[in-house]
Amino acid sequence: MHQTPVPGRHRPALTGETINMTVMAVEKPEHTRSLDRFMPQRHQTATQASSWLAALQQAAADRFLQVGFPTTQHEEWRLTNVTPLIERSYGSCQREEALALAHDPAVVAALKALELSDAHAVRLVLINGYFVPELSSAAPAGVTVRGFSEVIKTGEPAIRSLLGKLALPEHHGFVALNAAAFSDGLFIDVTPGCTLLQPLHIIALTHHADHHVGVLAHPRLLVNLGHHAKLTVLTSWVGGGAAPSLTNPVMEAFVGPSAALELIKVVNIHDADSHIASDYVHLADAATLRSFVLNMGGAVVRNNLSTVLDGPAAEATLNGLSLSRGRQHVDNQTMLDHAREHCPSHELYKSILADQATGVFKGRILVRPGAQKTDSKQTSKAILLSDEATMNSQPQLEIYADDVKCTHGSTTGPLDDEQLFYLRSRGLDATRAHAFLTYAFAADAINRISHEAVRTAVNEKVVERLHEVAPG
Amino acid sequence: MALLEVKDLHAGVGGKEILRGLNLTINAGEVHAIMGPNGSGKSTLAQVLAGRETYEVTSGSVMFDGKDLLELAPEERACEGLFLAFQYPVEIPGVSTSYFLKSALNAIRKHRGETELDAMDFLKLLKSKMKLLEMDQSFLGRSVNEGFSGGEKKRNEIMQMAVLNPRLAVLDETDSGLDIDALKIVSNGVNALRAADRGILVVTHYQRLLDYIVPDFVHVLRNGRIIKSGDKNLALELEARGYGWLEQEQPAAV
Repeated sequence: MHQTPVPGRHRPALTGETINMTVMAVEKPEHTRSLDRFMPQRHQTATQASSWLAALQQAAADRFLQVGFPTTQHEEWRLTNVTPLIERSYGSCQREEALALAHDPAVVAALKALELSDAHAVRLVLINGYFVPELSSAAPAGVTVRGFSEVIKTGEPAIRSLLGKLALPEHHGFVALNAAAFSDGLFIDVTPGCTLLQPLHIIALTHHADHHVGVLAHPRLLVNLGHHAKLTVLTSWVGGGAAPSLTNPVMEAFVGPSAALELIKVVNIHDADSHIASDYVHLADAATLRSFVLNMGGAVVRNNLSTVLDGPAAEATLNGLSLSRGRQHVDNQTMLDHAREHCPSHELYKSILADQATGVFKGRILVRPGAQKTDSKQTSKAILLSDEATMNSQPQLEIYADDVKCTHGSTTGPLDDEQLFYLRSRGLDATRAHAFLTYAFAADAINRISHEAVRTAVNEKVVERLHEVAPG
Repeated sequence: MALLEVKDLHAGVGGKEILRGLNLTINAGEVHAIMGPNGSGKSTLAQVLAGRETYEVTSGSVMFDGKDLLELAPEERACEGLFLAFQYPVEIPGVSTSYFLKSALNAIRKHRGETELDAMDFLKLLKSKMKLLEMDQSFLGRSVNEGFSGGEKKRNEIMQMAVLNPRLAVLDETDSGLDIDALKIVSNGVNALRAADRGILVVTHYQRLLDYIVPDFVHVLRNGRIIKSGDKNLALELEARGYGWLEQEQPAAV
């Protein structure tokens, strides 16, 4: 890995060693305070939780105290500066406050706007990271859906064997902080052989009764699919108000042998809010993951998606679409760990950037020794609708097996002149041709969502947003 | 009034002149073929007529149905009834041919002051034209030209022409990349669109296509000008003798 980060040095260095030392010296005392700042409910959690969990959270807290937040001096975070997000203060939210928000008219309206028209989705609502059963649907047969706090109290054995097994506090400060600070979230367990046609729709809402207070939330999600189970999960990250909020979710998903998980994530938070997510997926023999992330809202959005193909013939398909404008910054980081043989993986990440928006895609592919017949294809494409928008796309291939196929490609630029002319020569005016091509570019990614009702819903969102970004 | 009247057209790209004083008149109901060796300016003519901005028109005039064509944007030309079947149709992943073509047709209908077609009526029209080009129903859902073979792309072009119902169709090397079966299908499609109120300009390198789409007039393009015009027999003569023999006759050009 990289150099051990200096504790608390979450500001980019100015110039020269002397100044770095000064920054360290000044910040060290502040650093201890920062843990309280970022995990106000920690004490409460620790006393309620079982001892193994308390130990896990304490270890994560210790780790966080050691490493602090990543800075732009870390290679993995070079292009995403989180300093402004962690220097501001956030309001806290206790469980009781979150549950009380169930009747807040703004919350009710937000949930109504997110209903999937024809999907009969199983709705699961998180407010500021707390599961709100009152607003959530009953779990269908074959599926267990429990609020995390409840599961922890009753001591579900599955939790202990799965929680924290993929998301290690060592990965980066945000994962450590989530592990140290989370006090609720969702545990979703699908029994072997169960195929769920309805999607689970997790609505993760950020909301504070006082509109002028931003919220800091550390939602935790744990998903477990038994062998031959099939599940589609749509997660909508929404909400926020006048003051900036920050969500720091961590998800771990275990996909059993021959099971299939489709994950669709829509980040549609308030433009002042930020979202740093760390998702982990473990694929057993012949298990499949199909993921799609749509980034629309937010000031700084970072999606870390790490997938281990840990059984022969496991398959991962990772797709993404970002529609950014203003000064939005979206960073998609994927890691595909090909640990076993005969595993295909496919990645297509697309970005449409307007104004001064910035985009980052980094796709790391690790092919371990023995992972023969790996077939991996990675593509990143960006359209820049403005001269001031920028995209940074980096593949990172590490191959330690000899009989593999790995390809990657990346394109960034304005809309294609030949395509524009083709459309205009058929009668569409220049504005409509632009809008049409922009939509086509997006639709090419959206079409890869398998679940039809979810695909339709995502498409509607994109069409709506494109009317603003590229009218026509 | 002629449907298309090109007078002393000079055009080029990047300061290099490609069309050097081209004259051409097409009346409604006529099928014209322009033949010529590589680099003679055939595709440039097709692209200039359709309004491709890469090419710069330096002098001359093009009147289309009494309007100054060169003053019109590409989409206005399409709305006025000009259609270009591309030599290399581009792929547009993400949107289906039917969605694309419905948008195009309705843009043109709107321009003409006609009501827009609804989804049902459009689908009926599209299916009938697909049948004409012997295209499989699966084309409906596939993205525009994406993953199409060369033959499928060309068929798709003529199918679009049939749907958009232009007054003047310019076919740019529609025969290139077609096997004999596809050539017949495409030609049948074009022939079905021959009409008293429509002009067709076929741009081709080879005479082969003209066995199936029999032209009323054949023109030979060389160095950016038409150097000889005749009837369909001129094409046969070119096939037999090549383009070389015309060199000597060049001063006699139109």
